Order: sequence, then structure tokens, then C-alpha cells
Amino acid sequence: MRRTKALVAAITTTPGGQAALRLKTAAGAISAPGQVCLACRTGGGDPLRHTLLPVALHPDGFTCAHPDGVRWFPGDELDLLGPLGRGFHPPAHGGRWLLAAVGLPFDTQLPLLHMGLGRHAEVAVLAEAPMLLPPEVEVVNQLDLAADWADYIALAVSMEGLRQLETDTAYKALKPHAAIAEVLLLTPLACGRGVCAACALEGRRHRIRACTDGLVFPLAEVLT
Amino acid sequence: MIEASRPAPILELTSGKRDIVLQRPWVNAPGFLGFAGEARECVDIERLGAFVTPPLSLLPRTPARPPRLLAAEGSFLLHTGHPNPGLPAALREHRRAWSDLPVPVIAHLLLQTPDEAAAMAAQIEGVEAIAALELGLGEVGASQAAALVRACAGEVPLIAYLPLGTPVEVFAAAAEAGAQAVSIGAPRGALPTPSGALVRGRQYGPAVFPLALQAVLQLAETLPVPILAGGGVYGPAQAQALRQAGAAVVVLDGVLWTEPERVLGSEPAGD
Ligand code: FES
Repeated sequence: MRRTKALVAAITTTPGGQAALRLKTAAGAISAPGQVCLACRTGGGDPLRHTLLPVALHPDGFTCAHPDGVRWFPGDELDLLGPLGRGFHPPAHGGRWLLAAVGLPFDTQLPLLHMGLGRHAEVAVLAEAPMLLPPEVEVVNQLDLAADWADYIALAVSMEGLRQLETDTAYKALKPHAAIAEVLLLTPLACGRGVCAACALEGRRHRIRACTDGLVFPLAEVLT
Repeated sequence: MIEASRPAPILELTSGKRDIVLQRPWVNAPGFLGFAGEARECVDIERLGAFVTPPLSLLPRTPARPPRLLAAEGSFLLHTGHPNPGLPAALREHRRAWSDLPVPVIAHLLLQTPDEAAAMAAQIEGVEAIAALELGLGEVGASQAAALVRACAGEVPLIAYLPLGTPVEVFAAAAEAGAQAVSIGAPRGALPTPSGALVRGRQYGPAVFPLALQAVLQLAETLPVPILAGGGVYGPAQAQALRQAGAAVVVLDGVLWTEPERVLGSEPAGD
């Protein structure tokens, strides 16, 4: 993890219609889907860094969901900390990928979706709401059937959502497939370096911190 | 040959048996730099006057239930529950790393009862790696503050740490009871979650600064001991203002996670 500079190139929208920022960054600011950065405006006195969640990766940077409450404008220089976490580890070639964002905008999973298509995987998306997706992506709504079909599952869920998910009957269908599933746990981050415990989570074996141990975890590690 | 004279220390505290000497006017707020190893990732520790450990309790503590971080205009609220392995385990695991730091180490203790406070202070007596104790007294009255400080009196210099908003009399009682310095900690605040539930916690960010400055002005008029103060310091002008108001040392919090060099690169003048 390192600090680099980034430039706000444009204010735009995500494919899902959310406000977004197009950033130009040094190479490697984000190297895998599921990684995030923390950023503050250089010299701006932001009380905290904001979490930048990529929705598209570009050769010269990334586009991320516009963090709530920031007033950054094109031309602003950002101080970037990252990339945080190890990102998703999907199969290197092909396979049947099931992607879902539980209780969150699906935009978060778009970089992984495009990686899947680029790797010639069959990609299915569990849709909570109608969305515009590439035609080769299948939209499914029955989790149990889709989980039986998949050989790789990637979820995005908030920390609070994870605990609800465990008690949700529909998602109980995932438990038998935990060995092939990864989860991006979204939680507010403060320090991003494992010092503040804002992102701490009791894992199956020991206490973990999303910012340094995640934000992507094997599902089996975080299901209690 | 004429020896170059060392600059005068910024702060010297002594218990009569042991001392702590700060050569620079900065310390970290407890919990903002981790146990030591992580700290090196955030800042160049040599730029601090001393390193303050995360809050340590006698027994291990687990994290508070989420949400633990809420943001508001110009500030943020942290409610982590101060998770830590407990003082004995922290000493076992980190005392060697603390000894290797290039600056003195201040152990921040979370105190509840005088008996517990005495037990914790006793565990630290022989630990050379720790040069001073910062006593987290919490939201207490004057007599309770004095009792907790007295319970910790011993070899190591004591700094009484009370949240911003604590009445001057409580700081004075702690000093009277034997604290060699006082530190103004983060104020308590509350914010609603999106679902409307209230979360109470410690408040940080630039919005805290005017209150911190006012507190330093008030305490500096009254207290006979040095003051460590922070709260919303994100640039050299704020640090300078706190020092001119009477703070001997500036406590850095959120800026350590954003752009610490904005402050640590400057050396504010005192009053
Ligand atoms: S964000 Fe501070 S420990 Fe993870």
C-alpha cells in the first residue's frame, strides 16, 4: 500500500446511474477488482480519507462511485492511499461465474464482470433490480439454482448486510458453496492501515480487519 | 572545541524518580498510530515528541458493535470500543518494539476504578520501555479524577487525560492529585445513523478546533501544569494557535491518516 497522487478528470455517472468520478492515477493504483483506495483532496483538510470504490478500471486510472459528502471538482488533486486489500481471485480462464451485490448497487461488481467476460467465463448476475448489462451476461433470480450452476461466486455486501444475509433463507443456499465463494465486505474505513478498529470483524477463526485483511474474504472465513 | 548546544526540550516531566523529555511539540492521539509497527506506515515517528499507545484496559476488550464510524460536516465520530488485548498481553507483545522506538513511549490507560488503576500502574513500574502514563479518566467528577490519579502515583510521570468539555475544576483536581501534566482528549458526541439510531462516540475533525482552542485558553489561565492539546489540527496555523494559547504539546489525530506532513513538517512557536 502506498500514497500517490491522482487527478479528478471528470464527474460522470456509473452505468447504474449513480454519480461517479473519473480519476487519472499512477499505474497500479488499483490492480484487481475488489480493491479500493482511500483519498483526500491534497491540502484540503478533509477530516478523513474517503473510500473510493471502482466501478470501471482504465489503463490510466479508474472510475469510482462518488463518495457521499465530498466536494471534489475536475482538476482537483487527490492524495490516494492504496490499493487496499487483495481483491477478488476468480479463475484465470473460463468457468461459470455468479456475481451478486446484496443490498448495494451492482456497479461495485462491474470491474469483476468485465474481467469475467475478458477471460471467456460464462457470467451470471443475481439481479435485485432491473439493470443494463452486456447481452452475453445472464440475469438470474433464483440463487439456489444459480449457486448449483456456478463454479465461482463473488458477492458484495455491507458489514451489516452480512449478518442479515446469514439469517436470510434465500442466502442459506450459499452455505454449501462457501468454498467457491468470495465476498467483498463494504464497511466505513477510517485509517485504512489496521490501527483504528473501525472495520474490525469477528471472523470464524480470529478477529480480522477489513482494511488490511480484506476487503475481499473467502466466504467461509466470515460466515459464523 | 565548542559543542553545538542541543535545543531546549519542549516538555520535561518528572515524578522525582523517572522523567520523560519531549524534544518535539507533537504527540499522536491514543489509538491513531496503532501499537507501533503500523505507526511507521503512517508517519515518520522521529518527528513526534513521543509515541502514545492505543488505549489499554486491564482486561482484553472486543470491538463495539457497528456502526463504529459516522461522518458529519467537518467532523467524524468514532465508536470502536477501544479493542485491545489487555495491558499484560500488550506489554508482552509490544514492549520490545516500544523500546526500539526513537522517541519516548507514553502508555494510555483506560481507567475505571482506583483499584484497577493501581493494579495497572503497578504492572508498568518496572517497564523501562514506558516513560510516562496517560491516564484516560473518562467522564468523571473532580473527586473521582483525583482518586484515580492518586491510585497511579509511583515512579512514572502521569498525564491526566480528560475529554474536551470537562469542567476546569476536574482538570485542576487531577493536577492537584499529582498529575504532572494534563491532556485534552476528544470530546464526546452523538450522531444519528441512516436508520435514526443514535451512536455516541469520540468526535474528531476540523469542526472540533474552535472548542479545543477555547479550552486551552481557559485551562492555561488556571492550571499550574503543562497542557497537551489537540482536536481538529489539520495544518500548521492551528497548531501554532494552540501553542500560542498555552499548549506545550499538540496532539494530532485525524491528520495522521490524511496528510501528516502538513503539520509534522512545521515546528510551531510557543507562547
Ligand atoms: S479502517 Fe482502521 S483498522 Fe481498518
